Amino acid sequence: MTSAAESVLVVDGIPLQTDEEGYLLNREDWTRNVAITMASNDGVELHDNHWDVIQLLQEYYENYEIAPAIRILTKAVGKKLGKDKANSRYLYELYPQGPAKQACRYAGLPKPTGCV
Amino acid sequence: MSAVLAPLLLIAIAVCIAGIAYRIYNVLQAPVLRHIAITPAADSRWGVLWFMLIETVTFRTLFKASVPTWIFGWLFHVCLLLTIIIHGRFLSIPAPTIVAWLMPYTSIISYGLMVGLIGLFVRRLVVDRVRYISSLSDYMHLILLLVIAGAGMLLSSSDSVNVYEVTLFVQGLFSTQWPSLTQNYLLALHVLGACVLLCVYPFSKLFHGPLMWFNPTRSQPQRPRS
Amino acid sequence: MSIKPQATKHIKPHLANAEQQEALGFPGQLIDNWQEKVIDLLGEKVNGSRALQVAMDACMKCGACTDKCHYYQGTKDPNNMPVARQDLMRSVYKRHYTFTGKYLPWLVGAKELDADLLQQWYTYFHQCSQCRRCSVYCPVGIDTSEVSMAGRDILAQVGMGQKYANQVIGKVALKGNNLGLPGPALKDTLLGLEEDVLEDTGVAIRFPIDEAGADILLVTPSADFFAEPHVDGLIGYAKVLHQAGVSWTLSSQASEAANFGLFVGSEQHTREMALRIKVAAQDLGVKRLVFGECGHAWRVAQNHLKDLVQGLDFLDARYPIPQHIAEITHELWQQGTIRLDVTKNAQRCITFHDSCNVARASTLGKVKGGQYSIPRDLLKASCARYVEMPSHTTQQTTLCCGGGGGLLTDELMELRIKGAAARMNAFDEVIKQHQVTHMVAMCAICKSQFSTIFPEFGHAFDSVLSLHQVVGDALDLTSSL
Repeated sequence: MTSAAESVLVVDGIPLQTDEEGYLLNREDWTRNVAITMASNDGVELHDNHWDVIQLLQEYYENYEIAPAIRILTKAVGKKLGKDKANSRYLYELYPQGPAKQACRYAGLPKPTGCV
Repeated sequence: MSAVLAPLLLIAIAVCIAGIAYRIYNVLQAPVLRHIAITPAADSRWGVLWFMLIETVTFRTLFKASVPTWIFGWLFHVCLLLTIIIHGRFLSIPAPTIVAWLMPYTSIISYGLMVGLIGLFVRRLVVDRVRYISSLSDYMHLILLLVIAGAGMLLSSSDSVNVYEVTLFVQGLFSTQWPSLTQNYLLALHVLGACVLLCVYPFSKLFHGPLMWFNPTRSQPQRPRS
Repeated sequence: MSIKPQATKHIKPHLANAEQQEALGFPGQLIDNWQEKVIDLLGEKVNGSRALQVAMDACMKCGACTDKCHYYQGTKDPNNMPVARQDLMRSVYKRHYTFTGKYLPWLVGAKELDADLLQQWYTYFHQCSQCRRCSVYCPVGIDTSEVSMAGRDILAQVGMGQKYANQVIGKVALKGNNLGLPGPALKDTLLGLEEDVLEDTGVAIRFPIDEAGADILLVTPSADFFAEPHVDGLIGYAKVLHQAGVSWTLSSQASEAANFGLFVGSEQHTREMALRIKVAAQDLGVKRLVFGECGHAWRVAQNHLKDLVQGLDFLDARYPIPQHIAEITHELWQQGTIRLDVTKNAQRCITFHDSCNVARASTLGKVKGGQYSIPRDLLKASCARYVEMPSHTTQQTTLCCGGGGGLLTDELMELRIKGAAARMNAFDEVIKQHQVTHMVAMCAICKSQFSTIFPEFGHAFDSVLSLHQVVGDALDLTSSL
């Protein structure tokens, strides 16, 4: 059988539940160290701009119960980090696995699935 | 010998006809659930009929998919059809006109039949993809056809068969008294092989030809835009 | 080039958990009498579908299909040969429902359904994108998608549903779309698009939603709201409809064109999802129903909608029910109502990827083969440099993008990449010969798949464009007609 069982991510010695793909099951479990641990497991170091994206995702999710559409996100990134960064190419530089999926995971949000 | 062959042949014919009827009934009772024609398709019943006729005669799809398989497959089917027609010589003396017209080509047609069958057999053995999907029955069908055709070729090229006698036998097959046949093991093998083929045909993959006509992907017109 | 048995045996989608199964009315885990149940359901399905019955009975093992599947081409796993994929089901069918299979199983390749074979069903019925390329080459027209759909439905009914598809179907029921995009987020997104387009073009183009009394209800894949390049296609639709002066609206209730019920072979879920669209059209009082760029949505809409939901006759019978946005754009362009200017796409050299469900399962327009000519006409009118990929990879024999049929999920990435290799070879060929810069698609799955796997083949993720993105960019917005 394919394991449908959830996995566990250990952060600061505390085991946190995630789904098979490493997304937190409970958003309340999120701390900055969760993002840092996930990123370092991927071999990624999080810089200020990464954190800005994570924060934007979380704020939007707080309001709308979903991660922002790519256009909304690029526009918000542009406002915060400068017009030259208001495009998906820049977001892919920060999050090569795709801003929606990788950044959502670090932000403790569920994975956006559908035809995306 | 006719006392053995005649009843077997009659049973085989009955099984074949009943089998075909059963299979067609079976496929017709299964509902067509959705419009699943492969597009672009014809948009009328007549258009579909024309498309199916072309497909049946030329094996156009197989040609698109694999030219070697098409060469052997088409050759085999055409030669089989002609061979069956040539067997009409045993219906009357003199032979029916169309049969008389084909008879001079009997040996080249039978060679074509063998080449087609052997080609299909070799391809099944040699191409690893096709070998992977083949089960014993796939080889057995070809061997059965090879045996029937081989025996038939030997019979027609030798003088061991009395055409007059066989014609009488065929004509009397549906009577109460079967005309006698001179003992001939090759003929017995040929006829027994044919009996097995008749029984196997409706209940095996050999029935693919008729089934194609009932396949919704082919036999449905495409959904009109109105 | 020889076969590699079991090469992709390890690739399978995540199983749906109990919650995701039960939400769709399926058992939460593998039921105890799964073997008996699978065999019963198989018999019901074969007797209940002529297409499936022919698929089980008519295969003469000629091998014509064996090298036609993009997943076989990319993986060489023999179970990805369409005939072998069918054989996983056919062997069980023969064992239980045919004379020879019952008494001489060794002769005809009949097999008992054991736990290993059940796993192979799950694995390989989820390595079929239901694109039907094999069916084009099958001398008797066997449709492997019917087999994988039936197989997936049977698996779901004994407790082995697929997480991705189940989640998507569940979200449509709850939120109205695959993504689970709630109404307020959708409205916010559309307002943002109005701002963007105004800034880019200087023209105030609206993205109306839930506006009762509009002429057209546009139903489009939710990816069009969310992802790139999909959203650029949505902007293209809005520009065309604006320029044509047609009143239209989106619906927060039917904010999804896609219908994953088809992929999992569930008539019930396919119908329920189709029904949402009818209800939205009725509630908004629209006259016409129009679909955006989504391959299988168009297949369901054009071929199945009228059978799935009765009573669409409140729509205006002067227009086809339903219509595709590309048909409308094409007609407007032919009439001269909208004008396209190739110089606006001068920086691009484009090629077109025919999406399987549009190319082989549907039609567009009134001319035969319109599903091929309509997008090409529009692209050639929008971009001076248009190039075709090799002919055995286009139109009726187009290759699947590699992510269709419910396989667009990350855990299948290895398969998606290998399955896209054939298409990427064709793309590389036209890049080398004609310096093609972009591939255009008209299906949400194709666009997402390509933007994800392009980097694996050395192309930028944004080298895939939406059909209506290219059209929208070429559209002359200055002349108000």
